[in-house]
Amino acid sequence: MSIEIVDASGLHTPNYRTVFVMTEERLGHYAGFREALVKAFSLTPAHADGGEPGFFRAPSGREYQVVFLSRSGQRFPSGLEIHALAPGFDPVDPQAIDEDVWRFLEWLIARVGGEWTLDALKATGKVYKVPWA
Amino acid sequence: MSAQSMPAEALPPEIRAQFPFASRFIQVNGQRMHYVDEGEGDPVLLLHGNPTWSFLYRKFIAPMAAAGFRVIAPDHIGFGLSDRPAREHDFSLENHIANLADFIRRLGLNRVTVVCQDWGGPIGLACAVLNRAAFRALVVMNTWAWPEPSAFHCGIFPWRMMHAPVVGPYLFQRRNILVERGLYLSVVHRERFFDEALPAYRHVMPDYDSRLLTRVFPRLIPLGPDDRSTATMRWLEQSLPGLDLPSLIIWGKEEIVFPAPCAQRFKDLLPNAKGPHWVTGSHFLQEDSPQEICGHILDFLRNLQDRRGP
Repeated sequence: MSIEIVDASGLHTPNYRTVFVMTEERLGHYAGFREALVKAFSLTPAHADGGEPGFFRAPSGREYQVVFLSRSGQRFPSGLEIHALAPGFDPVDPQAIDEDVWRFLEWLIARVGGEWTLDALKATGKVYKVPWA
Repeated sequence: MSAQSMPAEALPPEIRAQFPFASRFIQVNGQRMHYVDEGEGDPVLLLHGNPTWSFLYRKFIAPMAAAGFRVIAPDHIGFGLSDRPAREHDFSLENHIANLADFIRRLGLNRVTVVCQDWGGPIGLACAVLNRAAFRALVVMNTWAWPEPSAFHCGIFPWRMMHAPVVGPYLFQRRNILVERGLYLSVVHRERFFDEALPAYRHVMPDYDSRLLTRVFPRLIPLGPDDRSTATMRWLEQSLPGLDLPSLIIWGKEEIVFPAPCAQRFKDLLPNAKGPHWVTGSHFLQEDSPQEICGHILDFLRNLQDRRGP
């Protein structure tokens, strides 16, 4: 099972709160990443003006919100934030989040393609002791 | 601007025991920069890179001060005990150069010998170009000063993948890979490093926000003609031959980030360069051969003194 893009109405997490995971401020640092996200989340420039955030469900079943950022002088989206959806007041498990985000990275790299290969991501993860690589 | 720094008193005793120098602070460009300042004499400015801090030079400071030099080791903004701006867009090579230039000006430093490694190279050498009259000599180690990337920086695995969009904040900030693994892989004496030094580098980067610059600096390394730092690096390379300062090149025999031809390139760029002296050392050669490097630098500085006469 891979990453599943869902819309707000398809979320399984009840009464969720959002928990910050990480920010990417420069999606355009390397070509291909922004385009892969635009395609996967069906983004248009209109999303920069009050559009809904994106959501994904990890293989674990946990769900995440992706907030797309806009910055003057850069194409939309210029960046993104990932937030975990935590049900009610339940605690979050940072390790579990890290595993889910690693799966998201694998999903993203597979969509960027070209010289950005899953093998290179996994090899990088192994060198740097990412447990899920 | 959001900026947080770690209080100097927060350093635990086992780190302070290795780094027993008074922590000093100065405002540069509106930010609080930490530095140590030991001894009296002509200043020797020790400049670190990513992801280290002045702790990297802990074994240089006392011997150099004892040899009659004023030894100054700052933490670049974003590292060590200096302020940590919270946004990627706060950082640029040009801002780092301006911060160090302001630091030198505010301390009123003259007759400076700059000792630089990694990002300390472009930052420190640019300050020497900008204010030639304040500098006396250059010592370059495992660094670069030109827009062309090394083979290491061109590769997808591992370098470009590490700081790719979305991957970068995950690996550098959530997983802290440069401190937890990258440093270890970039020294020769790994067991000693793990036991002695790693806790000090880990201590000053305890959380996601504190690690921001570890992923920003890699993105500032120019890979092509349109990259953010390319023009400044080109200006630096073109300016170095006119600097005409006594220079010393020291290089790690096991360095892979900036391999041996980079030492020769500095030899070509700096008309008065001595060396390279090859020492046991990977990228963070200060961790591997501090006494030997210190010896080379002090010999070089004593020769400059002798040439000046009484």
